[in-house]
Amino acid sequence: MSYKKLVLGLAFIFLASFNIVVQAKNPASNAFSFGSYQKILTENTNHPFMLVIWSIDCTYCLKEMSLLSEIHKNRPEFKMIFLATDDLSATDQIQQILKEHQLSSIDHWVFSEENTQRLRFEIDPTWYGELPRTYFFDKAHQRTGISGLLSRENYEEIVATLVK
Amino acid sequence: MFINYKTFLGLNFIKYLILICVLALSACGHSNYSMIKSSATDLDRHSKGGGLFVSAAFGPDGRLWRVAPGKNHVYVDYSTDMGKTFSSPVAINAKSQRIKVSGENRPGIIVDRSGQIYVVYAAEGNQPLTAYFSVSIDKGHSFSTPLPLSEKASEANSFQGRLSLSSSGQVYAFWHDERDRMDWRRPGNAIYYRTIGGQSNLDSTAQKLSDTICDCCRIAATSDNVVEPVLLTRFIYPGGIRDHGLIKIRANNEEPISWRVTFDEWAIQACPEHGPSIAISDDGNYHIAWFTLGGIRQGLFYAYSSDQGKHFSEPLSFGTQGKLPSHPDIIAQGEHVILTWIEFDGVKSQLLVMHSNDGGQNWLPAKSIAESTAEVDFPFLLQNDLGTFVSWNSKNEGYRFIQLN
Repeated sequence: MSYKKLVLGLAFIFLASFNIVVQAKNPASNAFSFGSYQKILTENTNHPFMLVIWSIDCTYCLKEMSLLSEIHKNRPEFKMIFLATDDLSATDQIQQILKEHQLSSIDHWVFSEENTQRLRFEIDPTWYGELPRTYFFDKAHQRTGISGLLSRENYEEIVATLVK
Repeated sequence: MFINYKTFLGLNFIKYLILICVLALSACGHSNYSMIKSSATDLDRHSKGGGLFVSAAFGPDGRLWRVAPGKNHVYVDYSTDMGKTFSSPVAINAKSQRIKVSGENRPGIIVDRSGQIYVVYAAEGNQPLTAYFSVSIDKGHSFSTPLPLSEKASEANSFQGRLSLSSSGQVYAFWHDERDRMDWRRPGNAIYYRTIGGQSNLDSTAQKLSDTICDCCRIAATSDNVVEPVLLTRFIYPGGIRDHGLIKIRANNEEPISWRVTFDEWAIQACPEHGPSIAISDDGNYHIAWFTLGGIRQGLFYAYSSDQGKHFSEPLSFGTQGKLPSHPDIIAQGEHVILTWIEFDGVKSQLLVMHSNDGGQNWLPAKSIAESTAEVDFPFLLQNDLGTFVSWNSKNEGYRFIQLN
């Protein structure tokens, strides 16, 4: 290998590494591991919020995105948190879907443990994994978990109650 | 001198560059992305059992054949010592594909009476999901180039392939097909099917079997002692009810028939990802097991029918409440019926087994026969002349093939 090629190759590795670091600092994606659920609760102490659990392979979840985007626009003061049950290798697809629905700015997490069953159990020991799964938290973090799509009226009613 | 100076500078520059790269990668190693991992289907990481979601079947020569998904290939291997050791895996697809796999959408394998091996799996094609099939006519040494099951695979998603061997020895392939979904606001897929001959030929045209199937629950298929396969699957009934129905293929080109057999009233617009299971005993009785979170009942249930599925017994609840009992499989031989499923207590998953010796009327207490603290696959029951076995994969412990007493 010539000197020039070696330097170019190393420069490429350097830039690639730099790119990974930049991506890692992107707040749009957080790795959801053991303890992350508690961290989300702590970070939102005394605030109502909604945790939307979804997957890129869940057709019903994708149907819900446009509606959630509208609700977010209409109620920017109400916090929405997204959690994808795919693994981190699907990050690009996840971010693309969020971008398409103008939801890139939303606090967003992705399952990052191999034992996804344990992650699900940590969130809710009664949840069998059906998607979409949405949790509504009031200020005191009393929560209601609902599986499946909700109507616009359902969302608006619940959100209006929580932000009172 | 000039050359030496340049070399000196170059070497130092390279040293610094390497140091910066190492530091950058090290910093990256402490970021959220430190956990970037290959998908659950990377064969290399699960040498004992390939990707997590595997399927197995006995061949007529007594070999245990197994199909395991990798990230870009699907592999078949076999065991001649009841799952203790396996042969070197053979890749089905020479050309790399993006394999699509989940607990419900898993590769399938079946061996016909002549020893030909049939495999189905899903991968990205022209559409995000395409169900492929491949056949080996030389005892697994080589496999035919995979072809889509659906002749409209380039226009519509096809996935959740399921193979079934009828009592006459015919191989059937069933799959979920989105070709008829004109209005995406209306939920539900169609099931299409076709028969597969040897020599890697599809020897029939694809036929529609049913509409309004729940999108993400796998099809259960078995054969009765008449001729054609019988399917149990989760339908979407009026009102968005996701309960189960039987589908029967009939001979002489008669229209398939289907009817509802579970009445749990599970109204949900979501992906339950919990497919059912069916077995038909050699005495002709039907046995079914399923999961529901319906308004009427919740959890795992079992029922039997003595009139070819027209009527079923009162659903029997099984599994431990509070331990997320799920993903049952069932097998029956004469009056001996066996159920298996998994439970999770927050730390470990357990493999449960339960027997009935009187055709499902009474059941012995359930027993845990294996466990894992890692991610686990669904369990499946297999039978041959030597007995009944559970095929179960998990990430840490690898593949287990457990004989039941």
